Amino acid sequence: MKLDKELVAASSAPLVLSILAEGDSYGYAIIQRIRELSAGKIEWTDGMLYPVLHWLEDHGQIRGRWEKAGPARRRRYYSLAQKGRTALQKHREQWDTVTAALRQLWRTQHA
Amino acid sequence: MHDLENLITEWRRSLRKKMSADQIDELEDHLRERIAELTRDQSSTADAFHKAVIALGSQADLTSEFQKPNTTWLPLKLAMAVIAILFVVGVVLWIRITNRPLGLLLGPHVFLIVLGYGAALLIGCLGISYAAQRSVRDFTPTRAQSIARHTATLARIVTVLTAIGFVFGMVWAHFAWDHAFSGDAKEIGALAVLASQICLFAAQRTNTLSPRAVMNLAVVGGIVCACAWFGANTWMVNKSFHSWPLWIIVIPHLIALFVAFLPSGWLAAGRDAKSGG
Repeated sequence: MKLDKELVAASSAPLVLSILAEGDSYGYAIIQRIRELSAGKIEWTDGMLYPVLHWLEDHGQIRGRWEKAGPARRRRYYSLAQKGRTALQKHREQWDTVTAALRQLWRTQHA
Repeated sequence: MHDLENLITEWRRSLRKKMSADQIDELEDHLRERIAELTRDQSSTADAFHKAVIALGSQADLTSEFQKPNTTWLPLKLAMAVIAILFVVGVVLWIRITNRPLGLLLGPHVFLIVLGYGAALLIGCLGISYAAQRSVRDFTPTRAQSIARHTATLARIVTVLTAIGFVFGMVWAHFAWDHAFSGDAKEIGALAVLASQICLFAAQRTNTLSPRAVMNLAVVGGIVCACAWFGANTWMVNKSFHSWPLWIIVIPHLIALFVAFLPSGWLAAGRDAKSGG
């Protein structure tokens, strides 16, 4: 079962912020981590991650920096900014509210 | 391996028209990682390359995603507001001039040149704002590209306005003075404004320059326009460039050009070092 496109889009920012809360990372590693965590159920077109990263950076939630990744290759690493930690906390509260409500509903409906 | 490098060079070339070098560098790093993973799983290099390109997304999808409007840049919003005011000023001038002899030619000339030159000066201000903001924190590759693209669109509008205004001026001069082009400072100035704005939008459109270099061209365009407008007027009257408006405009542009060559975030780095010490 693959997730709906809308749900993938809505969860992109909290997922990226949560992964960066574990430590600095870069595009490819973030995508791999998401696949690993969701057992391949959250499937992104690889290139679509970057506009999300740049959007978060523009809004001051993450910080980007270039580092050398080979003789003629650069890699852009991202780290979580303070604003990102606050945003992540808000995401957590919102997702917790939604999942708790759904769990309650489905529990009573199954009972 | 040689084949893979050729394939990647070709792939980069296909994206170059719509994306900046920074954006492509980031995607290339991703592509190479994916290829390395696929070749570990026994795929041939060419096969791995094609699979990795498909996983990354089609060229059309990538460019449209990267071009989606980011947050609006405040200086750009302000520039659009000032252009709206200039439009009103231009219309007022047009109406006032219409009753003069040959006013039907002079009116549109004044309107278009005021609007075109005004917008060219605002493009210079956008270049200054870019250099100033970059001094505190660098722009993301997508944002830098988006700002350069909007600035280039404005440069294209300036080119059209100035070119049409210039033609109206030539026709007016033909009837009023019997010669359409006399090669005076104002006319040479208008041609220089056109050349600087064409360079700007051509450089951005073809992606031959980085967004940062495009914004530096915007600063140069502002200097050229100030010289063409205030400098040319002063030169034709006094045969000198001693004009306060000219220097008030040119000096911040020159400072911005100097600042543009400093590393990004130099101002914040200095401040951090000070507070850390």
